[in-house]
Amino acid sequence: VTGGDLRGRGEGLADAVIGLLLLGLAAALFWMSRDIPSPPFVPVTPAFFPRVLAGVLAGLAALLVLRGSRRRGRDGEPRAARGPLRPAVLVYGALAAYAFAIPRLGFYASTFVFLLVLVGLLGERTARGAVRALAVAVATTAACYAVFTGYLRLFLPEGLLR
Amino acid sequence: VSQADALMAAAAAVADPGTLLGLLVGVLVGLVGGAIPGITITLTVILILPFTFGMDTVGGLATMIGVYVGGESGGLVSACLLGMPGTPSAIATTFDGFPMARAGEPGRAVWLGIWAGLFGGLIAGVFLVYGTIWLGRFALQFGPWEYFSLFILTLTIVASLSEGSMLKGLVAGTVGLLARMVGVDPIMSTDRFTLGTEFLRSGFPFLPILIGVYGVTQIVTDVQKLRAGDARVAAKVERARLAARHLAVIGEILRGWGNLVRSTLIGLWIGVLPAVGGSAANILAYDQAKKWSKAPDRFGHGSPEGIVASESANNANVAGSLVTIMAFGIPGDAVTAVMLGALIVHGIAPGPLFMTNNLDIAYAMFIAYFVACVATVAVESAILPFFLRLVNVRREVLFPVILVLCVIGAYALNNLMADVWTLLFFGILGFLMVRYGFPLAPIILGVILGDEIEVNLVRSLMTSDDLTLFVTRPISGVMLLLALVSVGVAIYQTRKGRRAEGVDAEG
Repeated sequence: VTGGDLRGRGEGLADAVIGLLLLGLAAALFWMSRDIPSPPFVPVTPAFFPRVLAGVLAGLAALLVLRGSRRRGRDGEPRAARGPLRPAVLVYGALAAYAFAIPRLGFYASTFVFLLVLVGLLGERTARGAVRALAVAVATTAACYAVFTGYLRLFLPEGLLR
Repeated sequence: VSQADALMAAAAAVADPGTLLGLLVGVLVGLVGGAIPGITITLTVILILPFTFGMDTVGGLATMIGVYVGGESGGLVSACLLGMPGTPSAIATTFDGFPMARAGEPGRAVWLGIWAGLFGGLIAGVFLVYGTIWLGRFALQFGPWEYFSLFILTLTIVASLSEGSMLKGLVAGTVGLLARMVGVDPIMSTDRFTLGTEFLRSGFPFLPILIGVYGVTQIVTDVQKLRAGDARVAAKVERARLAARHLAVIGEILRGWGNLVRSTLIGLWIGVLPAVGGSAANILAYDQAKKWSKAPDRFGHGSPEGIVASESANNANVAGSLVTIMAFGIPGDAVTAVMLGALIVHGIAPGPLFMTNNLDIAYAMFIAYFVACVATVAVESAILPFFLRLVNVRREVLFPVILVLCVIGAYALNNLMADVWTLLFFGILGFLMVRYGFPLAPIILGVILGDEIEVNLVRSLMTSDDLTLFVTRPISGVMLLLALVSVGVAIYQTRKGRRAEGVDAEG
């Protein structure tokens, strides 16, 4: 068995698992659609289209499971891009913390910290890198304030600045 | 409003200093964003999005059109000088632009691309104006049956043409439609799938989804590559050699007018097809140019025809995409999907009535397009000497700043933190989809078309319970037939491809 075959089978397995998850989602949505209130004397209720879609999704998911479980090595599809997971988790974690902080610290304070941390972590871990991160955080935060709050008058939560 | 009045109003709106400034800044940002490998035009438009919230409608749209037109041109500079396409729509430009630059004519390579882009863009602009008006009139005959069938056709085309498997494309499209079902339904205003929470009641607005799926996903994918190898460019091109003899270059392009016109038409056609972006247009045009050329063996070794084909096609592609969004309210690609969002933010409903109800804005978009084409050449010649330094900006600085702008774009839409969480959720979903081979375009299209498909389906069912109307009304029937054909062709080609591979493996 070559490496390519193994990978192909792994992908087939992943497809099958995703298909099963989607089948579950379709079933859950169909079941939940019973809770959608239907007004009287309306021939086509608000639950109608979601049910149709849930049915379509179930059908497609079943095909995915079927194809995934039959899949052997070659599949004629580009192999999915698989980069390292750690940087992805880092960025998503930073974004989640950022979103959590904005209503509490205000937009500008959160933005400053977010940039300082993320630029610092992604760049070189030296004194020079740290200075660069600080400079970027200060400059970008100031520019955002000037442009969005000052010039364009968007309502970003100012939080601590107020 | 009469046509002449609308035209005058549109010209005045574009000539407004604020609008012109926005357009010029848009072109500049587009050129730079388009030139940086890893920063797509879509991402650049997403970046500029929050800046347009504070502008008026025409100003915001003109800025976006500037980014769009400028971005298509920005990619070619990196393609020629670095051998790296700045955007996917400049891939074919590298084939001949880089060899020509390496052979000592970087100025000729770059300017062939810039001028060809201008000519292609202008020719396509004429079609943009007349095509939109004509198709818009055609679309006025549509009833709910035709709309429903048109949207189904759009979804199947996108699913069958997107990279990877069609099955996964269809799954993505259906998930996109289902995501739109959460919240208050568009017809009866009843709650659906809200789990009783206020958070879900507001639904998933499509701009945060779009920014998440395209913007955040793209940045995360770029960050993954950050450590693998520095994408920054070490190349230094001698500035003096970027000069070109413009008249000679223009003459060269115009003498090969057949190539120019053919490539422009290909770009237009690909642009009109929904959600098939410029990345397909330039390669297809390049391919055809090679087939028709008298000197096909020079392709890949610095053929001027190759550069002209690729660059005129991808600028024409912009015009084609704008036609589809203005005439039908269907985004021709990811960039016009963001533009669709900008229209909605400013309270304008895109769709077949767009031209009738907002003639002045439509005209303003036409004018802004032509101004942007010309401005691109001017701005590009001004910044060309510093270009490589701009392209060389540190990635670890750029990516976090872009993420901040993504968050502002999502939040400032409705001043809702819920939209930022939507952004994050779909940013993660997009990442997982790419990882497991699901194309992104169909989910976006599903989200955009979700309400419209449902409204038109329900409207047609309420008008008449005769289901055969979908097939017997001629326009609707033809479109459903085309949808079936596009699925059939995709299945046939996959089968054929697999069989060919099998033969290879045995042989």
